Amino acid sequence: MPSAFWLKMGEIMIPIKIAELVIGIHSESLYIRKMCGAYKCENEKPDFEIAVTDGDIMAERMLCPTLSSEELESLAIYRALCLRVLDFDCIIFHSSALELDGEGYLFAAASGIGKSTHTRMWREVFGERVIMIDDDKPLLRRLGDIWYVCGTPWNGKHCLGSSRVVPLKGICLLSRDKDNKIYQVQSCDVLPALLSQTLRPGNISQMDIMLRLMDSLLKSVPVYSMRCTMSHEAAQMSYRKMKGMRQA
Amino acid sequence: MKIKAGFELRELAGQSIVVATGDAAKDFNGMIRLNKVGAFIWKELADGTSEQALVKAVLDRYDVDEDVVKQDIKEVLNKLSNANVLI
Repeated sequence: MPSAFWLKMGEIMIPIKIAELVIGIHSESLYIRKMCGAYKCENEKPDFEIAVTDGDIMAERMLCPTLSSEELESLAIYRALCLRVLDFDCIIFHSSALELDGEGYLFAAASGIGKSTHTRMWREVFGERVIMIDDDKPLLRRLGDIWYVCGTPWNGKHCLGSSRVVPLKGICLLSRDKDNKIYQVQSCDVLPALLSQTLRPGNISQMDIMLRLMDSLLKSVPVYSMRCTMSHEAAQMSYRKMKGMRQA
Repeated sequence: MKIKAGFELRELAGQSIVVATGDAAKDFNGMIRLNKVGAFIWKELADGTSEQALVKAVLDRYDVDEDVVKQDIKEVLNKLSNANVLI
């Protein structure tokens, strides 16, 4: 029997629920199935399905030659998913996202700067009040007039996250320094830093949808710029500022 | 001279920006920010124009000194040319 037949037979659709959407992921990979495990849902009709081709996976290999085939497939799936969710007022925002007292806080920075370390500081300071939403690639979705931050299986190498959907309180762009400083910024002054956290569609109509969503997001959610040390003091400072409390 | 296909002028958070799509996005994944005059010049270039016509268009629209405009346009065109967005 030709092996292609068996491949078809073995193909499995994994239904997951993220960002209030039911998405059918087609994959034979155990890695993907494991990754999606905590986000699986039963007996719900998918809003849409995602299946990637060998060509899509090859394209990821060109971008990240050192990753394993499974990791590349996972990236290809997420890239396709992130383009598809644009139709549901939803964008990806590369960041470390957490929930505290029912509100979502996002920390974005270039790779290796310490956004995950900063959210770890929050966990150390606030303990069980903090729920990790997504340590790497959360989705942001507008439902009604409110922007929510949503956990996904693409939550970083330490698998820190959950399928939470929480109103977004603020976005913080983080860089390292010897002292701690945070201030609110005009989003038009930090557009390159903001835009580089999302996926830019190559296709113009999807690009326009993404830009309209980003515009709406920046109108409704405050953006902060923070220079900080990797310390508990920095976590307390960013919390107080983003929560809107007076600085100590 | 003209802006290459795939470079698009858009507004985001009240700021004029240029992003690349399609084939242009393969070589350019940055972003160009433009002020009001910059956006005006971009629109003229999008339709195709010459350096001389560009100077005239800016002079017709803005109350500025001709020598200053000539110098500024030269600079802008140099920058765009270096960014490889002109044909």
